[in-house]
Amino acid sequence: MIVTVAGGKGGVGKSTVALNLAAHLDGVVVDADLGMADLPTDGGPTLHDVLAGRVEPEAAVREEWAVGVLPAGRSLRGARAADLDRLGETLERLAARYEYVLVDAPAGFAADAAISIATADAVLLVTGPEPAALADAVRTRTLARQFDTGLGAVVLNRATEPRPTVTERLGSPQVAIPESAAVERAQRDGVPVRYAAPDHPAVESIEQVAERVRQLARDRRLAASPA
Amino acid sequence: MELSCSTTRRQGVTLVSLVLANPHDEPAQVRLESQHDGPVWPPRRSGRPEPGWDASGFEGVVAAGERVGLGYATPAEPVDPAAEIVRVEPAAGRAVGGQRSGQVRARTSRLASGGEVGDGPVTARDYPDPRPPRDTVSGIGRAPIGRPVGPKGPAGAGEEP
Repeated sequence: MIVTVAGGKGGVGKSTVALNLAAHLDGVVVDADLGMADLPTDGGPTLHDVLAGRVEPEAAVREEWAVGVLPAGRSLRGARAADLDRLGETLERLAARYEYVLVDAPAGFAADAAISIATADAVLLVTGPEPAALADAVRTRTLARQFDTGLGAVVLNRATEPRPTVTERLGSPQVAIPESAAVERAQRDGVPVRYAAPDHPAVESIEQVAERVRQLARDRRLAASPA
Repeated sequence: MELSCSTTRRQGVTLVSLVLANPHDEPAQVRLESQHDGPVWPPRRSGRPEPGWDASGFEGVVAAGERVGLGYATPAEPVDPAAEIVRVEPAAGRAVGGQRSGQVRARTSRLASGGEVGDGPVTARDYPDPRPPRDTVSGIGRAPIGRPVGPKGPAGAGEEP
């Protein structure tokens, strides 16, 4: 199942949600930002190499990291050599191997964001409570509707509880993830919060989102099975 | 191609201002790399790095006889020079812009299923190309040679398209 973590605005916490969800779901994260990577890399093969046809998608996944990650490239040369037409196919290839493929969608509304959303089985909208983030999340929601990609959940990041005004604008279910230095620190280290600070309240919030994704996967399997 | 650099250190961050000048009568593709022992923090807009920047420096086209102001930040201590030109090549005849032509084949039906909404792009692949164009400099922040470029803040502050 391909779950794209999107939101439109940069800095709202998409990478944090994608990495942590992958830890809860035993999934793989694909950093789909072709302009500039957010998740750490180690000099090995990247999404750029996959999209240039130099490396098979499965071979570029770092299985040995805290969670499986297919990192984005970090060079302009690599970005130019990448063939965007391969992005959808790459995600589908990984979905054949991994039960959960979490796509860390780029900010903005370029083709990499659009393809990430169009290829997904569900989109998780990550936003902050501030108006600029909400406006971009609404735009992302419209994009998802355009490609008939269902809303998995709204993740209200850096907030203590869900807000009715956010549900009104974006839909439901909504899960709030509290702001915390521990979450930021874990992300900086590339480590999911459940490993860095297992008792942190954010772990429970992330598990709520993960459970929602598992439910969507069950529904999908039921829908696909013969009556 | 001429490059001048100045740095200031504030609260643990080094701010680097650069001026690239192309005195020749044809546009040039230039690659410059930070010499700092630390990451490049490029200027960002809406969370995305400005076009032309990557993890180690900047690349773009400077039009003939023009100069451009650029800036970035880094946590590393100042060094002299802050950045160096590592490659220059003629950019004459190079296609302008990073967009691909409209002949785009959607990979799956889902990618092509968006045709019902508005006048915007109809398939995912028709959305703007996210990849940095080769000529990222030529359209921004340029000033004719000989005219002062003016004081620059960090990250290209003061430069408008």
